Amino acid sequence: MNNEQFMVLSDVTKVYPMGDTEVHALRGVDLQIQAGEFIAVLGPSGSGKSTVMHILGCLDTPTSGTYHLDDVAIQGLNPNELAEIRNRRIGFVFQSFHLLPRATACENVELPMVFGRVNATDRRFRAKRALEQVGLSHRIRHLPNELSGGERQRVAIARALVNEPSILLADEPTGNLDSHSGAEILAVFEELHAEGRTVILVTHDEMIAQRAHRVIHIFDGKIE
Amino acid sequence: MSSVSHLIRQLRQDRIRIALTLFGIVWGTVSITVLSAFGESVHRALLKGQKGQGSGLVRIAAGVTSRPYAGFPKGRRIGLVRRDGQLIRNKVPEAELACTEFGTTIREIACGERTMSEQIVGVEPAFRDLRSCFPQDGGRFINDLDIRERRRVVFLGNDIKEKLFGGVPAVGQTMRIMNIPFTVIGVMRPKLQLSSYYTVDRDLIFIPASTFENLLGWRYVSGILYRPNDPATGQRTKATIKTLLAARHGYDPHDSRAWNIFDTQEIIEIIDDVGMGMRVFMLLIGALTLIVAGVGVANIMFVLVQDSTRQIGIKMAVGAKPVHILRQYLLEGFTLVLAGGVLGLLFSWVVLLLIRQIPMDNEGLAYLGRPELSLATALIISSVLTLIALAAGFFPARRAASVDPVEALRYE
Repeated sequence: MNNEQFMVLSDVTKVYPMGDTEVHALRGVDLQIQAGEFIAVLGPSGSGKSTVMHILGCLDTPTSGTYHLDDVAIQGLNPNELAEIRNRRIGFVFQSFHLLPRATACENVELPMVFGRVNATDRRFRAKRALEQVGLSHRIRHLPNELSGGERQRVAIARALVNEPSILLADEPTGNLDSHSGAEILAVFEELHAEGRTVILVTHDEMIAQRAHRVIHIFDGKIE
Repeated sequence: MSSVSHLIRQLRQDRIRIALTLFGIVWGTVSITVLSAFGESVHRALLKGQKGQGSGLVRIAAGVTSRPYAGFPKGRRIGLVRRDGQLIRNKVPEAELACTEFGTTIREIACGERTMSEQIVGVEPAFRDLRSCFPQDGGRFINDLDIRERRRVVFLGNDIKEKLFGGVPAVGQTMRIMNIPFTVIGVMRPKLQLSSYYTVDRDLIFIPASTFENLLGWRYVSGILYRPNDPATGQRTKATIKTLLAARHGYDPHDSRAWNIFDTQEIIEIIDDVGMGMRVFMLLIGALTLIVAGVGVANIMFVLVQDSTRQIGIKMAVGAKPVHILRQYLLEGFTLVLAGGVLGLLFSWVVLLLIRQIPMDNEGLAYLGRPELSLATALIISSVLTLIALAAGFFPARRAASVDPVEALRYE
């Protein structure tokens, strides 16, 4: 692993068609992230910070410019290869949790392993262990709507971690939580960073961004 | 979480929609199955009814020449006689069974006090096998001795026997034809016969051809019946017999008007064609119903895909490849259609079982025969169902797999 340049965005732009017009979400972004960093991407809504996260997380590809993850050119990959990278190397945590509503906590955590060809017994075992890690071993069979916001987000974190990815991407992870639960979740991220993972937090909240070791300001699709 | 448990959750969620769709598939399957089962059974009944008149039977009746021949003008009436039947029996080994037949209506048929007007035929022993006129136990058909001695014996169709004698056993009884006493020697065993020229055999009174000749003083027979030994070479046998008779009666063997030929083999071929056409038609109608139901399933699947757009996005975010999503919805559509198909086949089987319980002693119902689900039909229906299942799942699945994960995660 190249510690100097782990994730590299060079002159990345992203243009979405929106009816007859185009939305320029990113207008030439350069960004280098080293392995093991704890970074906050800070910007107001509509600044393009979510688009940065989608591109870093291989959910989306740049309109122009390049993105190298561990020296692999992401923009040249097909949907199957992108899925493979998301599955093995990246864990997502979203503002609105994005859990499957009709699946139990345990089944939600198992989901990445279903697509990573892990057999059912191992899946169950690893999902339970991940839920223990986030302190939810007593909630394994609950459905998302039977859990509190903080608990749901911890299920989402367990899901993001279960395949042991090196990168954790979180988009406003505390946005739907009260301050107490929010603080707990942030503590979990700090812990994960301490374990050696690269943690990237996307937020509009200056206070939360200050918890990271490096803050990247984004405004109108550009890094300032 | 497997696709199957996901499907079960979806089913619980969309119970009514799913139930209606399933009903469509069940209905489609039942209609295709029952219709084609009926198509087959009607075909079988028609064939059996045709064979009741005699399987592979050919009847030659004399006609009028339409071509001059050997100095004779055209328009000459041909007269076939009993010796022509003997000639065919002796000289055409491909037509082992051959006999001549007289037929007319006689007004003075008397039994006890009653007198009535009935159809009567004069026949030879070969008629029994040619037309499957087998006697009931305790009786016999007309034999060679009856012919030679011009005996006054009578064989009765099973319905005319009821009319003349009611429930009383008829064999050994005496009845009068044109005021001459005849002894009943046998009664026909009931058979299914759906076509005839005088009347169906169960209404006929049979007497020896020689006795008929004497009784009415006829010189010419009404027709000659024969059956080729091998139906495959029936056309050649027919040509041989044509040439033989043309030489004997002095007319052009290619004169098509010199006789009227009634070939049941040709009729059976027509019935086969009609039966095939009917089955294809029934299958087509059934298949259309199924396709409509398949469109319903595809529709439901599109709605399911739409409703679970966000879940598709979530799955893609955690590493689902397009093929994983495709497989899931293909499997869901497939499961739905096949579940409906299996239910439909079971239901059809029960329906056909119940239909077969209805007694078919009525002439009209006899045409329907006994509908059964044949292996061939079941296989055709299964493949049609499988195709529809694949198609109904494929298009929604393809849409699901092509969802953009970023868009899908934003979808509310």
